[in-house]
Amino acid sequence: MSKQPHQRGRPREDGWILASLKSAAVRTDEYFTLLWRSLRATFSRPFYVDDLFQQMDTVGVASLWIVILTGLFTGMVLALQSAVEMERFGATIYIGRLVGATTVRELGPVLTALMVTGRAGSGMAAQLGSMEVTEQVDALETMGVNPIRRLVVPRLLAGVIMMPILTVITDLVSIVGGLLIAVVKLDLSATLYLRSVWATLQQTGFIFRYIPIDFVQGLVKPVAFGGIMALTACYYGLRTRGGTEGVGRSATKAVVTSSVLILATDYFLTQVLITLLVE
Amino acid sequence: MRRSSPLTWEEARVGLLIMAALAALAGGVFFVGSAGHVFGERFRLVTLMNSASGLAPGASVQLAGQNVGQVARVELIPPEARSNEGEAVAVTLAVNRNVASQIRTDSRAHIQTQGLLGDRLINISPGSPDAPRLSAGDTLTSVEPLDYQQVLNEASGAVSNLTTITRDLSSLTERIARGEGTAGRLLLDPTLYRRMVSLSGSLDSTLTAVNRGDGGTLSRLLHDDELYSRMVASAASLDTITARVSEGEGSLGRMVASDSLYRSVSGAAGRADSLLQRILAGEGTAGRMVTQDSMYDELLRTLVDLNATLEEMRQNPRRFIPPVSVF
Repeated sequence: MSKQPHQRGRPREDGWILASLKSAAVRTDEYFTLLWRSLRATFSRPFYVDDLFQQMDTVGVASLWIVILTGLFTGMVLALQSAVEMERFGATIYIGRLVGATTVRELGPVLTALMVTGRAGSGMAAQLGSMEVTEQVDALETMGVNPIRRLVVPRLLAGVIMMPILTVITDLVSIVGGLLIAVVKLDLSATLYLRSVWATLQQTGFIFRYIPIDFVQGLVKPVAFGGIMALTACYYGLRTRGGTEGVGRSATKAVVTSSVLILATDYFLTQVLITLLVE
Repeated sequence: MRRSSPLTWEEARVGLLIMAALAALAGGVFFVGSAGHVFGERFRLVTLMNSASGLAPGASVQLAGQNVGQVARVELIPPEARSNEGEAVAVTLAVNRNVASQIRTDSRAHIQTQGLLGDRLINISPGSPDAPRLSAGDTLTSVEPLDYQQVLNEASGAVSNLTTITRDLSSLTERIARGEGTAGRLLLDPTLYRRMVSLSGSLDSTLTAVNRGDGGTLSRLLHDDELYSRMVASAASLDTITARVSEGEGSLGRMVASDSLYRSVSGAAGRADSLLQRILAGEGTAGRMVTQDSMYDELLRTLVDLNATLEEMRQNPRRFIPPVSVF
């Protein structure tokens, strides 16, 4: 980046491009430092089990209803929309295939991750943010408790563990939602629908002979998404400045950033998984 | 882990959720697996084909149209390793063991297309009871699938013929519709009909007249027996004439009955014959004229002399005209 001859704004600072690049680099550095420290803390003692379970409850159980509703309506609308198109070719029997494949491979993981981010990630960022602005985090440190070990690790693990669990629930409910539409609106038999769901999942092949590749794809993704969601929330929570207003800002940033990261990661992860597993 | 407090509700809820998810996952693995017959015992068969036609591992294997397994592997055979010319691909099939008894040495594998998306699959035809069974690792004979390109190529010729035929037919029917040619006139021009109507009308009146018997040859032929009776009478008189001829009455009768005419004719013929014989033998004037050339030669010489004389006369007429003088 060459310096521009006619600088606008405050002359003592860098140009705005350079400044934002610099701050992006610093934030990236901080983000991955947090990740590294959390990973180190995860595999060493002491380990706060009660906090982990409490976070699993907050992330997992509390998000259960929204992922069920998301899954149900997604499955239903998938079946309905594709039915409109497929009816023209008399191909409504393929609806099971469509719902099964898209849900398990793609929509289940992504939608669950986005919903949990909105539901739990924002809460995490807000909670850590208010702890930060009320100096509770500093207090923990003063008492000799590592805030990363105590606050970040349980949330990260809870995200990584609960996201696949919730995804399985979403997938199941979504397939049931599609079944509902297939049977009630399209007059397909439930057996035919379910059989075509199983058939399409089986078609991608198996890994270790028994595990369908689609399931592996559908469960590796939410592990990554859970980690991204929790880490991003903790990152924005812990660097909250500016009182209650700052807490709100952190929550918003956490949701927006992790949503974008999840969608971007999803693409690359899908590419990698297809290359590794399918081909 | 040592617990100082009773189980908390949070722990139980999390546990329940995890259990539910794991149960759903296990159910999914089971159902997907059973759709692909992962859990049944399988055995492998190999079939060699000319072309895999887009067949991929995981494609279903059917026995008489019923799913019984999957394609496990599709491999290219290097040209050196081929046992037969047209076998470029080895397809390994994983088939459920419970249908092993159905697959015999005379079973045939062939690639089929199924469904809207044209999924490829392998269909195996069931074997006959007296052929021996195939066991794991054996080679199943394949049947080359119908080459649609070739069929289309052949069909296109027929289609173009058909196009020509329909074009000809359409121009033909057009011309007929316009009233051209015999067929067109037959369909569109009422003249023939009208004429046939008038013809049948006049035929009808003619026949009526004939039937009524009011004059005319045909009518008399039908209604009057005069012709018949006359013919009977002429037959009777012919009969009388022949009777008289056979009895030798009159000239005709004598010609038939007596041989005097024959004898006199044959005598005349005999005399003419002896006359001709004498002429040929050179007797008398006529005979010499016929047999000897001397008269002919004499005559020819006279003619030549006469010719020369006439020629002379034509060229020098004055020599033969005596000088005439009046005075």
